[in-house]
Amino acid sequence: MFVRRKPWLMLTPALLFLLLPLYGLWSALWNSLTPDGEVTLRVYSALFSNTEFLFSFFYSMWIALISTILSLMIGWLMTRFFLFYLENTGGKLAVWLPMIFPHFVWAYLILLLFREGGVISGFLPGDPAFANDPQGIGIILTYLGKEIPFVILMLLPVYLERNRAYDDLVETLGGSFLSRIKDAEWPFIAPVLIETGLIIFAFTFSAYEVPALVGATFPEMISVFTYDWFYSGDWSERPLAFAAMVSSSAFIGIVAWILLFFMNKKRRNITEGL
Amino acid sequence: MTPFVRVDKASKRFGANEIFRNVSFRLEEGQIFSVLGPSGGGKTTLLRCLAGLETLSSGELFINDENLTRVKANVRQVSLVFQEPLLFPHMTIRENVGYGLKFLKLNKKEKNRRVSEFLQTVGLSDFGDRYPRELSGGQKQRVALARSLILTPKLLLLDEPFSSLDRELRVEMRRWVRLLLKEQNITAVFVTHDQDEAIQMGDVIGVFREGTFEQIGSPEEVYENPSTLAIARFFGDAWVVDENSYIPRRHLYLKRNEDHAKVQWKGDIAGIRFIQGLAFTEVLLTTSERIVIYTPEDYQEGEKVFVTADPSYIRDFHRTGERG
Repeated sequence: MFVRRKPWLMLTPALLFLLLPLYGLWSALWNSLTPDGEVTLRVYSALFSNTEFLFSFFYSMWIALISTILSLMIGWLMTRFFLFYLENTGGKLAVWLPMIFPHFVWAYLILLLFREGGVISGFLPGDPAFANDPQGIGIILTYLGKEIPFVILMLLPVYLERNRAYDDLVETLGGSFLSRIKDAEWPFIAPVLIETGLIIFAFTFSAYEVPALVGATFPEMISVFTYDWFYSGDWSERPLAFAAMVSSSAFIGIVAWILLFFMNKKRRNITEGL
Repeated sequence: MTPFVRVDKASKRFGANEIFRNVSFRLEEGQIFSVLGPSGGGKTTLLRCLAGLETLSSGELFINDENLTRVKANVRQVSLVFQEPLLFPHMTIRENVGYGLKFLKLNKKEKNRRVSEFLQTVGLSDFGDRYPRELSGGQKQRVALARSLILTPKLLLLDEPFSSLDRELRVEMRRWVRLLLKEQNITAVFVTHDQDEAIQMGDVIGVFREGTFEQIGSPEEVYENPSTLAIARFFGDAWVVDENSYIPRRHLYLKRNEDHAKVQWKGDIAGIRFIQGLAFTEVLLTTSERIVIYTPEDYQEGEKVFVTADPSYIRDFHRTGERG
């Protein structure tokens, strides 16, 4: 009996921990569905016909996508080509260091360096502003600074534990450097890379502090936009804020589900086929 | 006739660390060369150099009169089968077998034909659409072999390919692989630390110790006439008399009495063992060495005996013929 009950026992902390966000999500959903005490989709139809919201939604998607893809690419290239240096303690420390700064500290740093007249942008011709800019470059730079080390730390163990004999195998079978990356590396790192990308995307899509600090007044990312609705003097906008939160969560959930669905079979082949 | 594979005075150093030196051998086309030596003796590095994964520090490699010493691994017509099968886990068995064909200019139909042919050759025709995780260890190694053979390499290198298999399967695979290599007339270098395996697989055996070949010869030659004390000890089938001489173990027998006309070692029967239905007697010598001898007579445990041989069978290392 004890053995049968054990998995549940071990999952209890995780389940308890999940209760909070699940309750939050449920409460947001309930509030958005019952603006006047009765269940209606009125708020959602209002939300999705609101052009400002839609613009903010796609703007967030764009910023999150760019941040995610650049972080993954740069993080992967750095892990791949500097593995030798990253393996030792000094290298690991160098990657860990940016990890310990909170996002808002990094955002302040970007602000100091890249705002109009900032330490770096002041030296550039034309004194361009890369913080609080409508293109979202400040947001993207902040996220890159924080997420590239994250990508490296996620990939490092995979690269260290990867069977390097596959490189030799591809070479003896006639493969080039590129085929080595494609067939001896990529299949093994892809699951971790995609999972990491998912985490980064979910975070950058909906996090508040960074766009609030280094974002522009227009366009706003979805988190800032929703926050404004939530705390505006007009209480009638609260259900809209809730609906926007639920929609963002649902969107992230769907993206995650699709990616994991396609990854799982491949991952099973890889983990059990070695 | 010039040999098909020729390795001349090859050596490899990593910095000050010498891995092997003065390695030379010649192989005829279709010959299987067993390289036998203890683990960590530089055998794998030798194979890696032959495959082109490492460069030789000095020396040369010729295959079919073509100098391949500086040719890169991915264009060298040499294939390497590793200790582990190293199948691509995300590819089907067909894709795995046909992997190397991707890099050759062949049309799809011809590729498919070859993959089917080699799947059949290794007896895995029904497994083409499966993934490696659905195969057993022996099947995986067969796929790995097919993946190398499909490229019709001029030289096939095998680096202890059966070491990850269990004992019974290993014996079966040796027989099967040797037959396959002979059928396909493949010239191969087979590395192992197991003397049975070396003898079973090789047309020629090279005993590789401390970074060089101590002896190269047919299995019978190396077995019967080890050229050094170390080889005799390594094979364990020559009874070492002293550092200069030995007796092939099959000339040893047991006697209850002392006999001054023979060479004898005194000892006690420590036990009887049956191997493949034959009785072998284990004798604990007064020198505290142990020896196992085939004997048709009945002995009791604890009985005093003499391990006996005719002095005419004593042979010297570095010498072939028998004394007297």
